[in-house]
Order: sequence, then structure tokens, then C-alpha cells
Amino acid sequence: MNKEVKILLRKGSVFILPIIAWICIVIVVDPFNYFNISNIVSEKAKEKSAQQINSLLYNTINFKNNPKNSIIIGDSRIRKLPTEKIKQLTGDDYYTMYSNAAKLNEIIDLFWISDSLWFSVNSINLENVIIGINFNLYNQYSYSNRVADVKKLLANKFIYIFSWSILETVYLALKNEFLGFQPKKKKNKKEFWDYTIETIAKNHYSKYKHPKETLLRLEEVRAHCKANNINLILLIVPHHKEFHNRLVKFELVDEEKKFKNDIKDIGRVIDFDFPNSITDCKSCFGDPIHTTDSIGEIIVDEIFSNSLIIGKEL
Amino acid sequence: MCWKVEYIVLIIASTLIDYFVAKKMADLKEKVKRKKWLLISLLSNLGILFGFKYFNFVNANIQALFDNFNIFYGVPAFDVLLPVGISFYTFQTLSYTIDVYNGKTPVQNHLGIFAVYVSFFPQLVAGPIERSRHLLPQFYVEHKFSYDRIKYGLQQMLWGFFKKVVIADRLAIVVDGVYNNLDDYSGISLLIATIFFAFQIYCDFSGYSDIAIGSARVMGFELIDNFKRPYFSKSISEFWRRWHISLSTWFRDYLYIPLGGNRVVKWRWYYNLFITFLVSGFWHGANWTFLVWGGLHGAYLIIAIVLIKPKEYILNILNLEGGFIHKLYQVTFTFVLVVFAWIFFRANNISDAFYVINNMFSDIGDYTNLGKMKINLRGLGIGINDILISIGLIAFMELYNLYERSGDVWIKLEQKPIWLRWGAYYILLFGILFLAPYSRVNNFIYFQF
Repeated sequence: MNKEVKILLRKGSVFILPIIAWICIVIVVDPFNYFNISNIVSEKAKEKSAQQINSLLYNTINFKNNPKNSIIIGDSRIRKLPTEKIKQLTGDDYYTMYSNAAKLNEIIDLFWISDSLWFSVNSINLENVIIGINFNLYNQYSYSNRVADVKKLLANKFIYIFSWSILETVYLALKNEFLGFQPKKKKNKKEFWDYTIETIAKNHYSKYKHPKETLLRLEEVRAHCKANNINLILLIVPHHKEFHNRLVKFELVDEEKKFKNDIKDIGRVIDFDFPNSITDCKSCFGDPIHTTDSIGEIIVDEIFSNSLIIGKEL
Repeated sequence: MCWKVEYIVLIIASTLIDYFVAKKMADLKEKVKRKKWLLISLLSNLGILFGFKYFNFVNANIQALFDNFNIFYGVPAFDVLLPVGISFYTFQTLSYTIDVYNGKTPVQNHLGIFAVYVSFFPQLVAGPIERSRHLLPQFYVEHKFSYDRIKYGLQQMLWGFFKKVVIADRLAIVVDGVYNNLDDYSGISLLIATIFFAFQIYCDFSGYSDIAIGSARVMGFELIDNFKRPYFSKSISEFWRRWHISLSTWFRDYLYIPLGGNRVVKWRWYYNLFITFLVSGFWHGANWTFLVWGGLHGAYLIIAIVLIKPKEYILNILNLEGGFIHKLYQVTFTFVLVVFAWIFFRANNISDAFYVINNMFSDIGDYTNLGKMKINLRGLGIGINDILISIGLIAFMELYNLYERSGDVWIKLEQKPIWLRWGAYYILLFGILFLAPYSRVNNFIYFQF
């Protein structure tokens, strides 16, 4: 063999070693249980790191590995709905498919992914779907496209292995496993409350456009659910009244009415976000848009025991 | 990118026509007879290009004109895809025929080698547009395996991939998001998207050129340089000596000079310049936006010529000529002019371009307000951090370009210790692997031309 060919092969082989090493590390650490073949890193370290970096990917892969016929889809607000309590009341085993700061277009994408993942295993469609939807998500500008990334990662091992969020998560999982968990910094409730009312609400409401295309996509979800006997509930979780007042300040009251009117045609809508004993009560919320666990239990109780006391059906 | 395998017939047709036309011309002594054969080549090649690229545009404009006068015009649109690389290989093969006609290049007797010249895969779809004098002789040379040459080619490909996949595709998220939904954006978003487009198209196209040149080099072929740090140009004429060099020299040699170039009366010189840039704009695409873009560059050059003497006079009085401040001003001013023209290049239509121009500075007082910027960018699915990362990548790329001014970066890197060399390779390689926005893969912009 030509001497120069030998040099190229030798140096090329050495050059790709770090790449091979990285592939091995990802397969061994496997923070999202993508390959599901290694237990070297504890499940707790994996989950904590993966949820912190990319909850959307973790929850999707987790659902893929353990699919259920009933799901709750939404952003971080629907995490407060206790699935054990739903099981006690109905016998149905629900999976919470959520992503932090999920947008409505992503929630719809998650519906389709979940349905296809369940269908691919059981050859039938989902039975029960609860979609958490609030007015602040119902905005053309409330848009993100992370589910497209998740789809690519699920479909292509190469993209998964060389994804930035996998790099971050592998590092964090190894750190958590071998150096112990770092205690989470506690947020100052008052400061975060004020930040949510001032800045987050402004981000949500200061630029608004009716989401025509998203509504069409919701109608496709409705048609699919109807055609396949999927029990669809749209749930509007409560916000504290101070957060709602910001919506009034940005002159979006009519748009909010339109939102509730629009989604009434999509499925059974259960509304908790109107002036009531929860929205008036500051201690019922961790922050202006996230209820406490006990309020989550009340909401589940009302929906699944078919006795709406605080909430109402639209 | 869409394609149809049947369109291979077009490149075969162009190849065969130019091969036989050139052979015929070589056999003829009289220029008049040679000219007839040259016309056959020009008409058939440009005819194919017109049919597939420009017919629908011209047809739609005639339709609109007739509609204005309520006259029936029933010529239907031609339902075709734009064949990949047609503008590039048409110009490449035409340059050969014209050079044979002018006696500047010998006729090629080997059909297979000529076909490889027309369809040489590294540069087939988006250039550099090679000249027969430069590329054809290389097919007759034996290319021995060379470790250094292959390494150099791979290094250039690596840098090209980095510019395309990491920088251009990341900038495209903002640019496409804004320019395809203009009604939703104003002020700073429009400005950011427009500046980002200037770097997106540079990284996209020069990235492709680097990959093409690098991959050809791996096989032992040298292609011409297509870009030389264009955004450091101190004038528009310098910009065109640094941007898409293979195309601008093509237009210089086969259109501008045959029109008379600058060896004519002044008004005719201006006319030649303007026509050359107008045609160059039209070469890019069948849309009024490209015509305006080309026309703007033509106008810039004419104005620069007209203002030469007053400018010299002012610089002499202020004693600024050649100083750093003067150079900085020249580079910045040229960049602003180029970016302004890019608005027309990127906008989907003329009214969109005017929307961008009219609204770009609508909230100039809030340009430094990050909170407002965040709200303004809502709907793109990205945050301020993504913008900052993009700016950082642009800065990195321009620092590379600055470092390149004193010589080829990779050759300079050869003198450095191994940890630094390999470190640089790994930064680029892992950058490509980890920083590329895979869910938003974009074709090369110039594939559409």
C-alpha cells in the first residue's frame, strides 16, 4: 500500500476515536432511555437530568417505552393533575405528556405523536385524551417547534447521539450520578409572582393574533377523535385573578371570549379559569399560573366524579 | 429541492450541442460561418434556459399587461420544475463555445472528457462556474494520491460545512421566519433578519463553494476561488471582485467587455455597466426582485464613477484618504449598500421589499430594549439567546476571515502544534455535529438558481 495512503488511514483512524468514544458514552449513559440497554446510571439521575434539559424528549421516549391508552397533554400546568387519583376514580391509567413552556402547536403535535406511538404498539387508537389549553397559548405568536426536533431525534440515532441537548444531559446525568444531586435553588415566591405578573404576562399578551391555523389543526384533532371514538376533553386550568387582570389591561377580553367560543366546538370543554373561589385565592397557587397539588386534586375530582362545583362545562 | 430524472436530457443536449458546435467551428476558417454555429449554441442553450427558468415569468407579466387593457391572452403557464444547476452548467458550457469561437481555447475532441467538464459533480449545481481553459487540461493530468492535498481538501470542506450547516442554517430560522411572515414583524426584527440574511447567503454560498473546491481538491482538481472576504470590501466594485467571482468574471468577459466595457463614451459605459448588472440580477431568478437587486448594484457603480472627483476633492480637504477611519467608513458604507440591496434579493416580491424598508426603523427608540426585542421576535420559536449565539457565530466567521487576510488559515495552522491543529478540527467537526439545527434543514440558496 502507498505510504501516503497508510498515513491517511492511520491519522484518520486516530482522528475518529473521540467520535467513537462519544457514541459509546451516549449508549452507556443513555439519559433518555433511548437505547434502553444500559443501567449503569441510575434511573433517578437520568430522569432528573433529562427532565431538566429536555422534558419534551424525555416524556415522549418514556411514553414510547411505556405507552398507555389515556393521556393528558399540555404544558407544565397539567403536571398538577394527579394521575393516581384519576386511576382511583375511573380505573384508567393516564400518562402525563407534558413539556415545560409547551405551545399549543406543540401540544397538538404531541397528540399526534402519542396517538401514533400507541397505535404502532396496539393497532388501536387512544381512548381518553385531556388537552390542557389556556388563552395564553391561543395566540399565533405563541409558537415553538421543538416537537419537530423530537421527531427527528426519535427517527434518527445519528441525530440523537450528536444533539446538543443529549450532550448537556449526558454531562448532567454523570454529574448527578457521581457527584450527587445539587439542591435546587428555591425561588423567592413573591419575586417570582411579581415577575410572572409583570414580564411573563406581558410576553404572553402584548403581541396577539388569533391563531387561525392552530384552530384548523385543533379541528383535525376533533375529527380524528370523533372518527376513532377517542374521548376528548379540553381543560382550561385556573390562573390567579392578578394574571387575568393583565389580559384585561392588554384589551384581550373579547379575544378570550372568542377563544372559549372557538374551542367549545372542538370537544368537551371544562373551564376553571373564570372568577371563582380558586382564582381569588393566592394560597391556591405556587405562582400566578401554576396551582398547588391540592387544587390539582380538586380539579381531577370534579372532572372525573362528574360533579362540577367550581369548574363549569362550556 | 425537487428534481426529475428526465431533466438529465437537458444537460446531455447542452453537452452534445456545444461539443459538436465547437468541433464544427474549429473546422471553419471564416468568422462569419463560425458565428452562425456560435448562434446555434447560444440560441439552443439560452432557449432551454429561457423555457425552464424565464418563460413563466415573462408569460405572467404579458398576461398582467393584457389584463390591464382587458385584452384576452390565453397562453397557459408551463408546468415545469427548474432543473438543478441549469444556470450554472449553461454558463459553463457557453463559456467554452465562446472561447473556441474567439480562439482562446483549443477544441475538445474527447466527448467523454467534455461531458465531465460540463457535469463535473462538485461544482455542477452551484458553481464555481469553471472556464474550459482552467478545468479541461486538468482532466488530462494524472492525479496521484497525495496525503497533503487530500488533507487540505478535507479541511476546506470542513470549514464549508461549518459555514453552511452551523451558521447559515441557524440564521435562516430568523430570516425565513421574518421574511415569510412580514406582517407580523416590524422594527428591530426586520433589521436583524436583513443583516442576518447578508451573512446567511454568504455562509450558504461560500460554504457550498468551499465544499465544492475542497471535494474537487481531494480528487486532485483545483477550482477557482469564488469568494474573498466580500464584506471587507471598501467599494461596490471591490465587492464584485470578491463576491461570486466566477459569475462576475463570466459577465465581465462575455457580456460587459463585448458590449464595449469602459472603452467607450461615458454614457455608453454607464449603460454597459447597468445592463451587465441587470442581466446578472435576472440570471439569479425570474422575479422583479432580482432585477431590482441587479439594477441597484449597477446604479451603485455608476454613482461611484460619477462621484469619483468630488469624493477625492473632499478627502483631500479633510486629509482623510487612506487612514483607518476612512477605511472603516468605506467598509461600513459598502456593507450598508450591499445589505440594502439584499432586501430585494431576499424579499418574496417588490411590495414585501418596500414593507421591510419602510418599517425597519419604525421603533428605533426600542432597539436596545431586550424585553421588547423578545416580544417582537415572538412567533419565531427562538429566544434572545439564539440571536446572541448567531451573532457570536458571525463574529467567529469574520475573525476567521480577518485571520485569512495574511494567508491561508489552514497553511498557517500547519505551523502550529498538533494539539492546536486537531483542536481546531474538532471544534469545527463537533460544531457541525452538535450545533446544526437538524429539524430545519435548508437547501443551499443557490440551488434554486
